Amino acid sequence: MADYLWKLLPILLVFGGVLGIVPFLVFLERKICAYIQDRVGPNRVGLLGPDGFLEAVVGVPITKKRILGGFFQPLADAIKLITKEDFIPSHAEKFLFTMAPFFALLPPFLAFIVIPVGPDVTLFGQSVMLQVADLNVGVLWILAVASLSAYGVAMGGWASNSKYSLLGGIRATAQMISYEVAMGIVLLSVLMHYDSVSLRDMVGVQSAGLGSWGLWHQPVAFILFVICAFAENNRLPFDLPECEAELVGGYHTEYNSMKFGMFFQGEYIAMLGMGALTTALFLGGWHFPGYAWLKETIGAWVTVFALAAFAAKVMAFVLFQMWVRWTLPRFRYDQLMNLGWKGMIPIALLNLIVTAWINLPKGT
Amino acid sequence: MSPAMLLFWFVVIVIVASAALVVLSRNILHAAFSLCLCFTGVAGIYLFLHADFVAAVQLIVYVGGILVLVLFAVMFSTHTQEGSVEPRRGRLALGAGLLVGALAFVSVVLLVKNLRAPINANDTVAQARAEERNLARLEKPAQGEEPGSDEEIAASKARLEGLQKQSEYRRTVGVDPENPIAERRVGLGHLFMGRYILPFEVASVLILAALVGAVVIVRKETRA
Amino acid sequence: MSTSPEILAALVFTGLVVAMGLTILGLVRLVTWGLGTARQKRGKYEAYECGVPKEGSARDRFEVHFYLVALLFVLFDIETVFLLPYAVSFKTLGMAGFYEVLAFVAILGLGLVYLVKRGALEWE
Repeated sequence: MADYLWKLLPILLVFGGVLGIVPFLVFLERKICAYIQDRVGPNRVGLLGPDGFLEAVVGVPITKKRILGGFFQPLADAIKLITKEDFIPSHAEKFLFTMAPFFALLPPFLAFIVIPVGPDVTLFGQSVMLQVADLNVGVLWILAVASLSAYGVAMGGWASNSKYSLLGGIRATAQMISYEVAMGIVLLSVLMHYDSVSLRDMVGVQSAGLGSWGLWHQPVAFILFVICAFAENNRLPFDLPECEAELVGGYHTEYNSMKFGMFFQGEYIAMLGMGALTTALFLGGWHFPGYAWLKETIGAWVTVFALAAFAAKVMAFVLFQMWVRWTLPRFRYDQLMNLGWKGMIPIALLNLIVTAWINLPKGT
Repeated sequence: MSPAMLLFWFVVIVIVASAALVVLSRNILHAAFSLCLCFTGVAGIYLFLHADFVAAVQLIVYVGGILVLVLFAVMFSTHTQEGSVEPRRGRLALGAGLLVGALAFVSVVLLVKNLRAPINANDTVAQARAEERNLARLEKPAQGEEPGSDEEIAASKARLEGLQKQSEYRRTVGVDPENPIAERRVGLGHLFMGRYILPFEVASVLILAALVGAVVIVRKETRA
Repeated sequence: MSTSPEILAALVFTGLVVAMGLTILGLVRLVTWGLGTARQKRGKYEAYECGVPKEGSARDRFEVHFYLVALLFVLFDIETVFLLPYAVSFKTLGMAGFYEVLAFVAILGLGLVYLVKRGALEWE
């Protein structure tokens, strides 16, 4: 029984971690976007700015420059979204319209199940694995979940019964499934390199040092995977499903209140998930240089640093996604499909063959 | 009833209910999404059979692939209002349904009857051990017990031999009978590349044929 | 019949996420029901078409290319699934397995080349 209870720790850690970070990501994205475009961005809501606190005490603004003002903007947005009227357009398919945001939220969250966020830790004599579940299918779970992610979008697009939504939904589905093929083949070559399907084992292999990180051994797979991550998340430069210039909002044009918020949340969870996945597969997971030395020095407390290292890598990847979003222009749809089918898939297949060739024990 | 059993029955009810919804729903898209739920439930059944790999494949291919195809077909072709369809009721439809159902039932029964190999390699080992104990009891009975008859001993020996062969077979194809779950996929690879190499390669030709067929159909569409 | 702690943990996590999602959906309805003054305005429940009155139905036919993409996806998905058992045990399969899988991939590569040559992947 105690085993089962201890399992709650990673479950709550991952669940709470994801839910806690996502609102912050929204703030971060807006702030980064603002700085890239030489604007200020949200800077009003919140007391976390050093001057903001004083302002709350004194009652008048002290300085003009605010550093972390606007930190609570996501909270304000959430309250606003929840209190908005939740109405369903008359032409919409009521049940599917309601369920679509839920199905947009679910798959990216489920991907976190197999991602190890930290090394095993011994708490009160009980070894706890910092991973929700080390499923036997391992990396296959990621593929399965990724294939589910098309549903929320397709459902929302169709149920809205609006031209923009339907166009966006169909575009999104076609795009996601195209890049899923490439992602599947990339994952195959990755698991051949590590010779295991378990992400836990993969991170274990990478904990041998900086040189053992997957990035150096599977550079082609790394690049392909990052491109697929962008396409799967419908992020710029692959955000054709919701390109505001042609499709208003794409598949969520007709959505309002927190239902729209759930689509939004789903996108950021997916970003985080792709970051966590890339970290686990290619960037060494929770491992960091000096881990062994630190473990000798401070003992079990090293887990805290490992978790921090994991979070830092994930955040670095998320920041990279944001940076790209506000830097690159959008692809055209034919370019996107060409890249997927004529570029990514053949390269991924070649990479698979080369990986097999390199890793085969010679002389057999 | 154990929690696992409860879960199993929950999955079963979900499958049956969603399958019924697929047939009875008047809205094709609702039917398609119910089918999605049904397929996911089937993946759950595979999990209960310790066939994790098959469960994942079920999700990837059926839920993630084939159902998207179905959805696309429905989304593209519903010119009718709200995509609703009138389910066919009539003697012919009923007869055809009953016939198909009966055939499916018969084939399942035949399949289960002919299923000699235990589903779980773990069972093979466990059964072999149980049989060993049984044989020992028959040959050298404990105090106050009757020794088994010659026929009984012969039958037990034959069973034991069969079970041992099975676990031996599993070992040769790469499945560790002591730890079948972790090793099953390895066994599958060996089967594909060894004994079933021809079907494996033919599968690629089949996929190629389907691919060419798809292109031909689409080109015809666009020209018309 | 048994469920391993891993699957149980995965189920608990899934349950948590499902509960959260349904709670949000329920909460939104509840708030609207409790606080809202649902005003009926002309066009409010119409599909959004940039403010112009709705024209025609959204349920129109689409380009068949999208359907082709879905078909091809299923085929390549199956290919991935076929390659998976090889990828898991390729080290023990040695060179023989490598050549076999090379043939498999080559046949599918041929299919991809055919697709490109026939122009099936061209979008207008």
